Amino acid sequence: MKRAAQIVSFLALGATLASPVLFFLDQLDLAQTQLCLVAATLAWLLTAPFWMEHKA
Amino acid sequence: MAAEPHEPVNEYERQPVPESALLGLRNYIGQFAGEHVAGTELMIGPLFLAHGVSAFNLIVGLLIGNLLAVLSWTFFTAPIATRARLTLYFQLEKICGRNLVTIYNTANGVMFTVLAGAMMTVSATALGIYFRFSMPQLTDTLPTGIGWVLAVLATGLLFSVVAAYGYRFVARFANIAAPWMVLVFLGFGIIGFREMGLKSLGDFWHVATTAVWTGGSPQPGQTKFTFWHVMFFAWFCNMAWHIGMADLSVFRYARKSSYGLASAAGMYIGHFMAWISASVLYAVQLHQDPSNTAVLPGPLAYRACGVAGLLAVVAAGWTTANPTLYRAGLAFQSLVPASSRFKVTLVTGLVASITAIFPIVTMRLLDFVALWGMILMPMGAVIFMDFWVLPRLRLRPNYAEAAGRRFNWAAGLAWLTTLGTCTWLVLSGRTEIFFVSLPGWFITSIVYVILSKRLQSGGKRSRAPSGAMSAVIEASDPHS
Repeated sequence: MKRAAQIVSFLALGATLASPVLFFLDQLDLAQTQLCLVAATLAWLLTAPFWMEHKA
Repeated sequence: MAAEPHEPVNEYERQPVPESALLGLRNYIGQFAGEHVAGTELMIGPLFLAHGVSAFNLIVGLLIGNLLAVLSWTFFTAPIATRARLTLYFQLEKICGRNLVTIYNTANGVMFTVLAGAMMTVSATALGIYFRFSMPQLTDTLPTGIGWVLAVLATGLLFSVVAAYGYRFVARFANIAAPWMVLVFLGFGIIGFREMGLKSLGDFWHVATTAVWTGGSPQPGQTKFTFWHVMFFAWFCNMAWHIGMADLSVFRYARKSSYGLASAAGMYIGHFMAWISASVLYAVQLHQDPSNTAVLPGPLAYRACGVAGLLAVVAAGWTTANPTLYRAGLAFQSLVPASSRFKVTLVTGLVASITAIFPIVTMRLLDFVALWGMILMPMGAVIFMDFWVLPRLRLRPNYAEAAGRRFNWAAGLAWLTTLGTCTWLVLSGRTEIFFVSLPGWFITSIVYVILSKRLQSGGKRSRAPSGAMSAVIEASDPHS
């Protein structure tokens, strides 16, 4: 569970960075970029608490 | 801070931090990177543009000013912190006496309260996207309507209750949100530059100089910013923490004084990348509608990143208002130690909410931050001279403790003289608020040393034979 959450979290962070870059490269329009960003935001905020605060 | 990066320090308050509690470099990098991507960055970046700054002056000014800030943490704050390993308040109490520390705490608490209010204002602008009430313009000083007042009060009340009840919950949320928030701020910049016409990195300087920061006239009511304004602002905006020594409380846990360099993580992510990104968002707004000069982080962020941008604005304001309210509460609570921290934090939050209704502080945030540095910096100069210079002049450091005084007049008069002189310099138009802390530091230092010599030469005759005093000085000399 923790491992899966970690993978989703890192994918979400990657998407948070990638979507503005793809907009910059004209691969996404602004509406698509904003949709990707909100999806990535929710994914990060929902999965990161499962592993970020569980260090010994 | 010992356990979690955002936790205010509340242990070893009256004793040096022991070897076993020291922290590594990673803690400091994490703390600085997280703390300096705050809601207020979304105001500061656009305000530079409103002051008519040019691309060269902004970018080079920020690079050098932030470097000076990092060096100030490394060579002013950290060396004393890692030798004395005391909180700012305890160190000040030893030098200045309990009564003077009380005055300092009051000033500190007031400034923290007003800053927390500015963070509430920033978050409240996000609500304007959905509730469509009238929001303040750049030149507004008073509330713009009942909708604005209700939005700010609702935001402030929520922040205050959470800070009073659930400090730890928000501190945990802040840790979790930090990496995502940094990337959203970076996204603001990337999207903003593309909207301004940048298509390849090779065109960066052309777009930056001709479309984003053209160095034209400032907005009405704003002064023109030069390279020196930007550099001094970047250097002094956290002056209360580095040269003012507030971060003695943080660096007393550092294994080495070189950990002061970790502040670069906060400066170059928060006070370089985030300011530039926020500034570009404002440039996009002016590009699309030159008549829309309002600096409102909510709409600015929403235009670029949609709902994710709004969430970043609320999170950035909330996660930084939380420790700010907590610190203000602690400062006020120290005035009446028996009072409940919960009640003090709640009342402080309510006062901050009321200040947040008036947009003057947020719209003049650059001036407020510079004023904060000017007011609190003199105590940092007192600590610096007391620690490094007084023993070399064979004067007693920590004089209030040694002489059993509750008010060290040398420190008090040095502070008052500096504030009076700096205020006169600014009000008479001789210098601007952004620069005045530099001469202010030297004024405090010189006045404190002269008055200490006078105070202690009187005290030496009446309190102890010179031989005994010499022994005390030797024993307390930090260099011996």
